[in-house]
Parts: sequence; structure tokens; C-alpha cells
Amino acid sequence: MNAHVNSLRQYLTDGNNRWIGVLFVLALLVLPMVSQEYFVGIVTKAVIFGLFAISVDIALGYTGLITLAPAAFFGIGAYSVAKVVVDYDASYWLGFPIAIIVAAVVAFLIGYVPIKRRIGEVYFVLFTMAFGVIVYDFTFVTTSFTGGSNGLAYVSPPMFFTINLAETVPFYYFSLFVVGILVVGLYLLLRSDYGRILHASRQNEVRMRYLGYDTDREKLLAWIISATVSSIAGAVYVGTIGVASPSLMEFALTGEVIIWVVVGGAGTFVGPFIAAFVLSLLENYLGSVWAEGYLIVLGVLFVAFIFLLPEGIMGRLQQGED
Amino acid sequence: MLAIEGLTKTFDSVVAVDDVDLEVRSGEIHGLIGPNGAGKTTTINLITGELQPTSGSVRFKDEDLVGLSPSTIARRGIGRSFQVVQYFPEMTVREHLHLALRNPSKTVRSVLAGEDYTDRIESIASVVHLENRLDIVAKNLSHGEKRFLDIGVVLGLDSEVILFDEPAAGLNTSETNELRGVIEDLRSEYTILIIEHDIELVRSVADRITVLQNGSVLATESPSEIVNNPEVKEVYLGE
Repeated sequence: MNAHVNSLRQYLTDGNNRWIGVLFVLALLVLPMVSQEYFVGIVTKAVIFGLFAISVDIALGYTGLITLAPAAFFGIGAYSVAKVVVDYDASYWLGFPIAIIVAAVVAFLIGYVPIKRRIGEVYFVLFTMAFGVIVYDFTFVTTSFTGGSNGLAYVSPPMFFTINLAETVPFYYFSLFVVGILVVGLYLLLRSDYGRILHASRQNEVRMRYLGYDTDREKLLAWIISATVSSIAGAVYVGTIGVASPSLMEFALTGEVIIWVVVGGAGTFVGPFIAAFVLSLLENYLGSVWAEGYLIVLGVLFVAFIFLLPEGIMGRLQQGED
Repeated sequence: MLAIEGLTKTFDSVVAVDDVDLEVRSGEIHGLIGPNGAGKTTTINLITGELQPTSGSVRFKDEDLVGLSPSTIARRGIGRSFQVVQYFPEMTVREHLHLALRNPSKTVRSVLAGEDYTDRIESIASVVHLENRLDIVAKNLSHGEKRFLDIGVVLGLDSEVILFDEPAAGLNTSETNELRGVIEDLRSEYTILIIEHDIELVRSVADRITVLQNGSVLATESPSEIVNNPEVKEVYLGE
């Protein structure tokens, strides 16, 4: 464990990273004291989207798996919590393990054949695309199960001892806590030997196999972790909007998160988080002054980064450090 | 140690390896030579699980390897280097050796506790003359250094048998001499099968040499016998 703690310490104490990271966390912690509740709600969503972007980066950036189903897993998380609370009147907390289990099982089923059987990377893309479309349509046609186009409302987070999580600020800190735990956990995971294995496998899978590594197993595991974390992000997110609706599974959200990852820098961990955070704040701002602006900005950014800066902002900064 | 019997591989109507029998004895350095297209690399690919034979068997310490994956065979104790050097361009020499040294099965455990291989990394780096290049990213190494890194990575595995596929390809005279020294140093610890076009190198290090021609075994003899074998002279040495 010491090695991983040391690697975290090394990152946190690495010049500018330390101060930027510490200031960012401090700013998040004091935000409710200096800002209106409305803005706190917006930042809550931005932080959750940051986690969502990291989850997709694990598949896309670290493992090289081009997934077109992030929104589907995000939605699975949201619907799991909503279903438990709205339809079964059960504990809000029960929705989280259900979200994790459903996402893990579904990810395994989708990923096993294209990854373990090596039928070709393109089939992984097609499988995830088909799954994304099917799940999205499923939410519309199975009205009795998913609430159809109205979705499942209203999901109200419960009391946690004496704290009412249904209120904006307590839920903000709850979200920060969940996202913080997962971000640190994933950071340690990707800085461990497991991260090195993924990194090496992306560079030369043949050599890895001849070093005795079951690269397919490691990729499948990474894919399941990615899908599971996406579902946790969705499970937290539904608490901020109170309703699980088909829009959470729309392909538009998949496109959005992929652009966040590309802009931030695939495989850089922190880059996608920052891009998701900043661009979702931008979306909120543009929503009030230029309704279509956000999608146009996203489209332009995507094309510009693919052609001019495919490694993303953080990827370029890291290259500069090298 | 490594016994190949009746090994055959066909690609449609082309017979790449034809009923090859080959025994690599424990502790020996065995050379495998032959003209281009003789089936040398295909044979190594069949031993290591990259290709599955059409017929025949590959036995390692009395266990049949046919049907096993390359990663499983590597974990059983057979390491290999490649004709075209295989490395991780963005990773340092140290990281290469670290990945080779850790147990590939221990993914979960490695997350809980990072293991320190510093001593063994330095020891292997010194064997392959990369002790001063440990923190250099592989893409910045010279071709010769990459070749030695490829060998070092194989040494990091807990292998008993090492298969070298043209380790001297692209090396200059001085680097080839270094390679000869490295292979000699490994003699006491490993069983080695070496494919090489540099006949002088094979002659100087091998205990026995097998010559392949058109996928079949032409002869298996000591180096001195091979160079005097009229058939070998005709088909391979061009005399």
C-alpha cells in the first residue's frame, strides 16, 4: 500500500499540481459558504459529470475500448436508484448496490465476446452502440417498468442521521464525498501495477501476452470498472434532478462525455474530469444566454481537438513536462 | 526439456512446417537455422502458442502445450524474444523489467500492495548492459539497446526455456559480440533455442544445431558436424 500512497503523495507534491489540486478541493469545500444554492446545485452536477468522464476515460483512454454506451450505464445507475425509491418505496441506499451489480453484469455480458473472444475491436463498438440504442428505446416502450417518456419521479434523497440529503447543500457534500472517494480510489488503481498493465497493453499487447499477462482479462476488468463507475455517477446524479428519464440515456450524453474526454485528454485521468467540470458549467451559463450555443461549442471543440490537439489539453501539458 | 514431435503447420495448400521433430535438452543452447522461409519463426510461433499446429505435439517437461495461449505458455516457463523487437515505446527500461518481474496473475494483489523489484531490475539491467539506461523511455533507446531490452524482459520472466528469434538482427559487430557474451552468461541458468542468420554467432554459442529446409529438418548435429555436412553446405551455406 505504501507504494501507492507514495505515488499519490508524489503527484500531490509535484509543484503546480499540488497547489492547483489543493486550491480546487478547497474551493469546492467552501463553495456553499460563498455562493447561492442555485450555483451549488450546478456545481454538484459538474462534479458528478467529472466522475462520469473519468469512468469513460478508463475504457477509452486507458484501455483503448471505444464505448458508445456510457449514457446507457449512467442511466442504469439513475434508474436503479429511482426504481428502488419510486416503485418499491425501498431504501435509497439500496439503489447503489443494485446499480453496481446490474452495470457490472451487463458490462460483462456486452464485453465478454468482443474482448475475450477477440472478434475485433469494431464489434465492441457495435455491441455498445446497439446496447445504448436498445436501452434507450427500452425506457420508452416499457412504460410500466420505466415510466416511459415521463420516467420515474420523484427521487428524493433521504435523511442521513440528522442531515437532510434532499436539500441542495447537504447533497452537494454527499456528492463530493462519493466522487472524492471514487476519484482517489481510481487514481490509486491506475497508478498501481494495474494501471501500468493497461498502459503497456495499449502500447504493445503482443509483448504483454508473451510476458504471461492475460490482456483480455485485464481489459474486460477495466471495462467493467468503467461501466460500474458510470452507473454510480448516474445513481448520484438522479438525486440532484429527482427524476430518472430517458434523456439520461440519450446518445447525446454519450457524445458529450466522449468530447469531454477528448478535450481533457484521453488517458490522463484528471483532464477529462476538468473538461467535464468546466464544460458542464459552460453549458449552464450558455443555456441562459444562447440556448444552442453549447452544442455548437462542443461540436467545434471536438473537430478542433481531433485535428489539432488529439492528445487533449492535459495530454499536451504532460508531453510538455516530459 | 522441450520435445517437438511430428509438428506440422499448413496454411491452405502451403506446408510451412512439415513433420518436424526437435528436442531441446535441459541446459543446452540449441541453434535453429535455415534459409528464409524454412519455417524457423513458424516453429517458434507454434511452440509459444501464437499459432496452433495442424498436427503434432509440443511437450515441455512432459506437458503438452498445444492449445494453450501464449500467456499461459509464458507463465509455464517459456519466454521469447522477437525478430522485430517488441517493446513499450512510452515506458522506461525500469518499467519494462518491473512488468516482466511481477507475477501476471496477481492483478488484484498488486493494487493492494506494490512490490519492489529494484534489486532484481538492477541485476537484470546489468546482465544486458542497460544498467545506466534504466530511466530512459524505450523509444529513445538505440536499436541495439532495444534488442538487449527485449532479452532483459525475457530474463525477468521466471523462464526455464528462452526462445531467441534472430536476436542479432540489425546489430553491428560490436553489439553482436556483446550479445554473444550475454548468451554465454545465460548458459548456466537457462535452456535456450536460438534462431539466427548469423551462422558464426550460432556456431560459437550452440551445443547442437538443427537445420530446417522447406519446413523439414535437414539435420541436427553439433556445430562442427553441421558446417561439414554436405547437404547443409549445399542448401544453406551455399557451398
